[in-house]
Amino acid sequence: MEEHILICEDSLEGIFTAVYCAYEKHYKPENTAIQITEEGNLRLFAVYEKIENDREKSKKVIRTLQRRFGEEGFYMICLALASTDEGKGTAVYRTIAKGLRLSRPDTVFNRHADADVQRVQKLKYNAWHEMHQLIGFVRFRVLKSGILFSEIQPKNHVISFLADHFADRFPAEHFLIYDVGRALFAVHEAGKPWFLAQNACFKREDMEECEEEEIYQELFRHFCHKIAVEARENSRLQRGMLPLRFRPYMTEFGKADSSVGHSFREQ
Amino acid sequence: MKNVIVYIKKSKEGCTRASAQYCEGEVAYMDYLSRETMSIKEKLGILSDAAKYDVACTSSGVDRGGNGKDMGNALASGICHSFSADGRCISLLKILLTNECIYDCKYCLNRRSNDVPRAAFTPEEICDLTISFYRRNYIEGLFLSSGIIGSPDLTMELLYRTLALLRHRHHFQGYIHVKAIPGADWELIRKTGLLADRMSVNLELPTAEGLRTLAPNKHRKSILTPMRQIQTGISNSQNELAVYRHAPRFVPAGQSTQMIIGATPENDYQILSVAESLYRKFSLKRVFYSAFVRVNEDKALPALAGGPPLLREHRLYQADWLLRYYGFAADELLSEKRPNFNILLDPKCDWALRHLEQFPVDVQTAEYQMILRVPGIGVKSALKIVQARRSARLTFEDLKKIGVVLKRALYFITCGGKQMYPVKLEEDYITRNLLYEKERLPFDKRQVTYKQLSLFDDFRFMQTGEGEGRRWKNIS
Repeated sequence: MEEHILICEDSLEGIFTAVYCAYEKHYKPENTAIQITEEGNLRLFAVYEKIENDREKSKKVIRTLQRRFGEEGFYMICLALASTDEGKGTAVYRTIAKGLRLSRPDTVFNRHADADVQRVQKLKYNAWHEMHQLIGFVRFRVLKSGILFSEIQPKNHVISFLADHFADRFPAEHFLIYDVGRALFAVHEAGKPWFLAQNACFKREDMEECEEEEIYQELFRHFCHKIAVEARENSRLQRGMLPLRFRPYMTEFGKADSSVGHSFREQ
Repeated sequence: MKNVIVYIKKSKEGCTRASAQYCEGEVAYMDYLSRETMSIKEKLGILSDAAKYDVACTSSGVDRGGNGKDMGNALASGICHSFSADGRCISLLKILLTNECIYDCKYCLNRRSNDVPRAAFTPEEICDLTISFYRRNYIEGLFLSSGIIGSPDLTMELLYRTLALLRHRHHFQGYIHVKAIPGADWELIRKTGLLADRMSVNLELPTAEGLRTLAPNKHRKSILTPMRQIQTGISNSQNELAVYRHAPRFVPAGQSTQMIIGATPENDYQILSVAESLYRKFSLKRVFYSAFVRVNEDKALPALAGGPPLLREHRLYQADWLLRYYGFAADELLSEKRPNFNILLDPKCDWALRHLEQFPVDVQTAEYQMILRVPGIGVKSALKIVQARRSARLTFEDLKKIGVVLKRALYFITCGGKQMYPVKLEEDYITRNLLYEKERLPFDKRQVTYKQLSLFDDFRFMQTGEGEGRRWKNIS
């Protein structure tokens, strides 16, 4: 039995291209892995293939997935692929392969006893959960130009899900969400679809906050302080619900630190 | 500020129902606003401080996508935006319109006889705060309540004006939870309900008797009347929506209420029965339980040495979930003979131990409703079990991955006729083992999650303290 390991870029396009190639070449899913990073430890008797991104091929895969798994199933697959797990490519690929063998591919997600499906479910849950937390924890600052600006540092690649949510919520606002760890911007211009931008540069004076900004930040901090019931104070519970890693970017925890506000590359 | 007074004066002229009390209150409110020199920050401090004992801060129950031009949408799951120092979720801007109140409820910080700083927001101020906070993603919407200023009618009218301003002038599409004021005119409540997502009327105390002793100005009947009206309003609105897709939606996220726990001598069975009938007869979405916090010195109030009764509140919430999602009835969990919850065991384990004849349950063949009753299996894992067993024989390993808490469930289930370990189905034996696995309580501060291993932690060690060899024996 020959083992195939497909190496591709860590993106939807990369992984979907790899899925296409695996199908094209009639590889057996059990003996095929999709890897998103270069192998440090090469395995004996395994055939390595490097897959280049191919927009056409990935689009074909996306179309098939949407048609056969439905919008919800496709959404789950995308969320699972937004995680940082190294084995996500393989788990998703094998789940897709198992699903496509069924008459109703979307029911593959009900097979909770299957190891690959379990893995995909877990990855999906992790990404979904972080996304859901951030939908609440994102804090916008209003800049002089009237643009809403926010910084996040998520573990999973959830920025596009967040941008979707906020574009629906604030259709008439210009906003920027900056993923500090990935140096990635989600840019939304009022009334237009949003897009992602890598390595964008901004001038420092463009990032200055508007005059009332400090007032509202102070008001919100005051509110958060006042709304807690002293007799029930419970920082352990608070920490469980709102982990410390989110707090540096949140208005209500400590004074807004100006050094945090300028962590992206300046011109 | 002046504009507001003019605005109120104008609307007053158009008011036909102006009773003496109503006008008096109107004047009082205007007087307030003109006299007040407080900053917004001070007002926000006073009026959120006064609102914090209201527990409900959920933003759930309604799915409303953005309309592509105005600000705001709502998610059925609700969104928590922050967590305050007490670990409770901050989802909505929870404030009072005013903490001025004509009532004198003994448990309430804002009662008439208390000498506390009073303040009032203008509708504009509330709109500005809501919009500015919402835009920065601090909050999911507004939770507006109020002390009774002038009369219930006037208070309701002011709440309505605020909501109308927010929805109509500012086109705010986010979540709004508003209190219905008992005793207010139904027409006012109806108008307000058409602008809000959720409405609530606080039951305050579980029984009419408790209400009589602690809230002499409130009556059981005047609380239940608006509750019934809102229920009828919601079901009428749903019927209309079935016919006309664009019919106005009345309180689409449903209605909720809250009860104070531990201020009056009711037992858990009474409280849970009240909650059950509220769910069944008034189709409430949620009943909230609020552990009594003694904020006033009053001889009618109990002194609680151990602080607010948090464990009791926790058990009630656990039972509340069993009522709403697990198909339990109040008299299955408690009875006249056993009117209070077990301190040591959660209500579901407690029930299972008293009904061992129904166990063990085989996960491969049992009905969903029965699987749901197994301790350690929740709604999600029960659903997953039912889905997964169509295509595979489940093992205990699978159950663990599905999310079943096996250390609790293992006594009550079999997989394909086999137990996980050979355990006895015996009440004492299981109780002992369940108690050994300490229950995680959300408010237990003494509980340490990570513990440094230390020779000196063992209390037996401290007590004996004899020879070296003896010590080692104790530890091993």
